[in-house]
Amino acid sequence: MDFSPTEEQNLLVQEATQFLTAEWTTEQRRRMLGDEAGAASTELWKRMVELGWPALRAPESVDGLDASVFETTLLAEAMGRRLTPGEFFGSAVLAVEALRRFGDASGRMEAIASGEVRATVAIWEPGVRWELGVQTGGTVRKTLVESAAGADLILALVRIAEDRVELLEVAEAAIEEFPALDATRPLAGVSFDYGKATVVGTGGEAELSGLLDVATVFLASEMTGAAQQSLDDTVSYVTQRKQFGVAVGGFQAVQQRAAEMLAIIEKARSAVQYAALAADESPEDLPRAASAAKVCANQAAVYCAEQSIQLHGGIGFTWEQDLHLYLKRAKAAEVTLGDSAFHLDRIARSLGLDAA
Amino acid sequence: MPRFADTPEQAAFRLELRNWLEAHPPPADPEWDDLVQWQRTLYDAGWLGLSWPAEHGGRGAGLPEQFIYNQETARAGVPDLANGIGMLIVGPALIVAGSAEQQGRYLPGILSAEEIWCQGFSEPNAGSDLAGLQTRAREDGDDYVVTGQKIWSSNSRHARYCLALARTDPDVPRHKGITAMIIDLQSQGVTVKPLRQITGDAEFGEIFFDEVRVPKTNRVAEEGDGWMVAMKTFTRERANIAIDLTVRLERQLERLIASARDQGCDASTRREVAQAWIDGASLGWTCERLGEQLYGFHSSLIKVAWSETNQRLQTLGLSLLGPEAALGDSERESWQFGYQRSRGNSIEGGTSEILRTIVAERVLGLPRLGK
Repeated sequence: MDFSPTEEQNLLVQEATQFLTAEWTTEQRRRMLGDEAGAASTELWKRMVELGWPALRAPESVDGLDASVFETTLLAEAMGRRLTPGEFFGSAVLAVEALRRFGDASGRMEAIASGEVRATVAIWEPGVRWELGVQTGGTVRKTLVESAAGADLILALVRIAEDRVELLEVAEAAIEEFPALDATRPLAGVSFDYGKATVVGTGGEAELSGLLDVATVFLASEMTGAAQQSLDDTVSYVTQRKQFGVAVGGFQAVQQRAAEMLAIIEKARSAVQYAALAADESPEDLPRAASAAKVCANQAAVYCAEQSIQLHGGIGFTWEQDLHLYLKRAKAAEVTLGDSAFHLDRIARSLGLDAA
Repeated sequence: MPRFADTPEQAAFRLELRNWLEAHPPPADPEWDDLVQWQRTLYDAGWLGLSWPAEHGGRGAGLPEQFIYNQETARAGVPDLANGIGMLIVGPALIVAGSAEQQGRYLPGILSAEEIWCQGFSEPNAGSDLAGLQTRAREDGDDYVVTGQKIWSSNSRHARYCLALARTDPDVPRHKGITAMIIDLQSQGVTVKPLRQITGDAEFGEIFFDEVRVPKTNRVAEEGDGWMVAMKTFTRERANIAIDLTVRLERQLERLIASARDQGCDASTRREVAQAWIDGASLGWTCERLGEQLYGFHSSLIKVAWSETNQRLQTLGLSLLGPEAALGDSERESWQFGYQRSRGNSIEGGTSEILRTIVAERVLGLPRLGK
């Protein structure tokens, strides 16, 4: 029962934090709000490739670093603090985890791990809530695909029978970029002809939920980082902002909320790290732990983003402050990979509480 | 509750304790005398004072062993210890601040429950603002003469001794004029009255001191060090209390889930039960993750989270009863009792408001108003 990161892991997080603080400044991040979005996030991705990050979760057989889920989620928290865009999540998390579980018949993992190829995975379908409907061939329409524009490789998960899911390499995809609530994390629709796609792996419910659970833990860690940043910004603001001749952080109404923000963040961090350790050491505990992590992270990210705006007062409601970016990230991430009701239902089922 | 594997040493410790508890089952439905006898049995077998240094009868164990001890005793249905206040508050205070004579004289009796203890900290006009306490101890030869009133003293009706805070110097800044002392409750001038709470029980009592003579040799640490003694005791012991409460919560959760399963419930209640599971489980994960940090102000976070989680859990348990929640049931295991008792959780041992203020000022570093 060892939650404590090793010195090496602490160093990784420290370096990542320094790198992201330097490379993904407010100015860089704000390029995501305009026409330069693609250029900005591609530049950041190239720097991540130089650092070898795409190889983190890839196996040693393709020169990957085979880092633990625990280590990767520590990095995710640092990324979440800065609101990095979705290239890492699409390629180094979704694509790598999918290929690990479903198979890699085309041998794409090596190029993804080296960063030579940037991939993403199309999972969800329009009108379906965090499930995959059975496809019967023809045109497959996917939605909410992370960082699809400019991706070198688009993979897709397609359910072809009740307990059979294929991992496809998509050719000639039609990509339609959507306006996203969280502009720092672009989303797209992807359509393709099933007949022209190549099957690179297959699996069932276990592979699918394993992939989604690890991705959920990673996302939950990013959200915890974002919540922590909201709190840090709030603490620094209420410490210097004076009204009635004193710093407003001395008022109990403000203090109680700030303390609640910390409580909810610590809870989320615990749930995330427990789930990450479960992924590494006791996979049978992962589904419930991942759901708990997501519920806690949803609560932390949304509460902290909302409270940070409230505690900044009028200035917190302005476009110039980055607080709204954290709010939009929180609300978009809240429904990514399952909202709280979805995960609570999943936990309830695991506790033996079935629908009447 | 899922948790990670013990180290081989921890596993051996767990197994030894589990086997011992199977061979020595705790009393069912215990009366007071049974509780005292049971603590004595635990003491004779060497299970008490795990975190206390070996020279004071303990094992010098760390938090993981404490965690295991709490888990295994909760699993075996071990009741609250008769001398809980002695074990959690008084003993640690004497270990950090008492004289060698006091340690030798009192610590064994605390562990064995031969001498039951209570604490005399809070007063009617000094609750959250403990430093405002008014009980006065004036010097007279080799004694202090103590006059005043204490309240919320758990176990006071059974206690022989009280670790009390009294004001020895009213003319210095208020935190500095307080002294800690051991008061024999059989002294002349002491009156102990039970205090009935909303459940109908009387876990707490009031203690009245009317010109009670306390030998100066009963003073703990130096004159004026009382605040320091109280703070050291609180911060150290909040970690163990946090772990104890968290483990107990798991039992309540199991009851809740079993009730929900047996009675069936609608979709929104299922989600509330799932949320309660998350809240309870995450407290355990946070205790394990924070580890030694629990010895600091982070323990306040655990206390707030625990009390609010237990309140939601008990509220939910009561609501599962449907219309029959309206029936009276004074059994300690009933949701009616649990719900009522839980309302005290966010008040006892520091109100949630005070604890959040501590977190804001001491952990987040927000300014202290008026400072």
